[in-house]
Amino acid sequence: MQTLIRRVPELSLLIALTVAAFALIAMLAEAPEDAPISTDLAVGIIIGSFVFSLLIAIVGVIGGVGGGVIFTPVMLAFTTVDTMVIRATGLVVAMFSGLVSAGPFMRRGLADIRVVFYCAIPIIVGAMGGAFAAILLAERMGPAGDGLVRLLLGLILIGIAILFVVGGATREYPQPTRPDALSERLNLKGAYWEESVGGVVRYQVTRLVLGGLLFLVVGFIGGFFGLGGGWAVVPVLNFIMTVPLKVSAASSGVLLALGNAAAVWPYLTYGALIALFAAPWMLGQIIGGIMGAHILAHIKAALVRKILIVILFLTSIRLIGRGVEELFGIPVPFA
Amino acid sequence: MEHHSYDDPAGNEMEAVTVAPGSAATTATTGTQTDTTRPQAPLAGIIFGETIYWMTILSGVIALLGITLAMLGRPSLMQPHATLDAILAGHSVTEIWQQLVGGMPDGHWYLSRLTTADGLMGLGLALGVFSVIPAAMSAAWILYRQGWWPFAILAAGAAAVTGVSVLGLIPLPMN
Repeated sequence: MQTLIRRVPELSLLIALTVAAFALIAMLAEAPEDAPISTDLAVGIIIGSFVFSLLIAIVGVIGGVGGGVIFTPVMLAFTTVDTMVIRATGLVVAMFSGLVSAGPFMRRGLADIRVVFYCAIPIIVGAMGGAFAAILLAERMGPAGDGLVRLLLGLILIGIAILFVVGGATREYPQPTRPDALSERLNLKGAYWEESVGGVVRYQVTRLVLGGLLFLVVGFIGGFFGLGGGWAVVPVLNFIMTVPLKVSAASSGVLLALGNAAAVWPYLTYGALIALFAAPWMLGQIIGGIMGAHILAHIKAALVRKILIVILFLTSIRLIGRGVEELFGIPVPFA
Repeated sequence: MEHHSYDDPAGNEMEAVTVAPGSAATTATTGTQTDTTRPQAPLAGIIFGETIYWMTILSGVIALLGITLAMLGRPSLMQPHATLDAILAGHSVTEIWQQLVGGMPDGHWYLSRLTTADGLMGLGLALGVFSVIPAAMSAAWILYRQGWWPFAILAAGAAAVTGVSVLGLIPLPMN
């Protein structure tokens, strides 16, 4: 950690500024007389959000899933915060670690810029469509839509967790298959330096049409639920398009940033992105994203995914329970 | 072992050797490059990444300033304690804005309120999200100059679609 801070001076500067600002807030913040909550609680929410966001960012970047896939389901399952506020903030959580990790990943040649731009258009269009659909649902169904969102997300999370279990680490270095006509035409081949084995890994990207269609769907789901799309970007790049796991994880972060950047604006102009609530999560993602991006180069990403599988399964059970309760009024013991 | 060729970013064909499936990694040898030579990161990627990286860090500093000013009682659009209380209580977006501001926001609301703590936090969030547009445009230009024109078009397209979203050219589906 000390080496990382020395190697990345801007990280140490950001951490120092954040610590100083939070110390100032903790010492000098005062509540007005009619404040509905105490200053201690308000400061606790701000600093707590930052710390959780930092941890989520590190895990999200290393796992290549972005933070949204952890933040949004956990908040929807375990808090009373409005679903639109959670989903808008979820997109910020999903994208900022990806945004800031773009620098280190591109510098190292871990993220493939051509793969990123090929996949960007379908994921951006899908994410924008998902964000508009979310606003439409909130406008038409109101609170009843919340139950539907929780139930659907719970089911999707189970699917994602199963995808991770089935996938495993067997595709860390997918072997080149016969490239399709489009990837041959676009010459989508790449190479990167693999720190953990001390050598060059080369790869051939393939199945571009299928990958593009899947990214359209992934973008829509990510934009609608505020998950981002990292949970599926890595599997699609890795299993379908035969991109090595580490390049998939690094490119996924950058793709998330691009896709979610388009999806965030409808939420922002709608007013669902409440600045005071979202800003500490954003800051945690920036600092955690830089840390995660530097750690990723030195570890096996597959390990972190096991932690994610457990989180996804537990959260999905709670989400389905709450969804069933809210939609059908049936009491569920674990909800 | 499987032999196959690949092109470096400059388009020069090189020979590579890939070990059997299940191996830890592949090794490669070429006329000018061995398996111990790090491949160079493409310039378009570096420019794209660095643009986003530094704009995002700047956006984080602006947002941090906004958080600090809000909590220290400087002018805010939404009173911080009341905002957090309304959010924790599960109030809807409409209820939060009506209760704390007296009406829903108008598009890029933070731009006209930059002297408030909320305005600064909003600017920080927006600047970070906006960073992908100049980054994608710069990458598009470099990709075009290097002859990767299909990817230059895709990069410019990504920036254009995001720009449409930023400008709010597609109306929100509201009642």
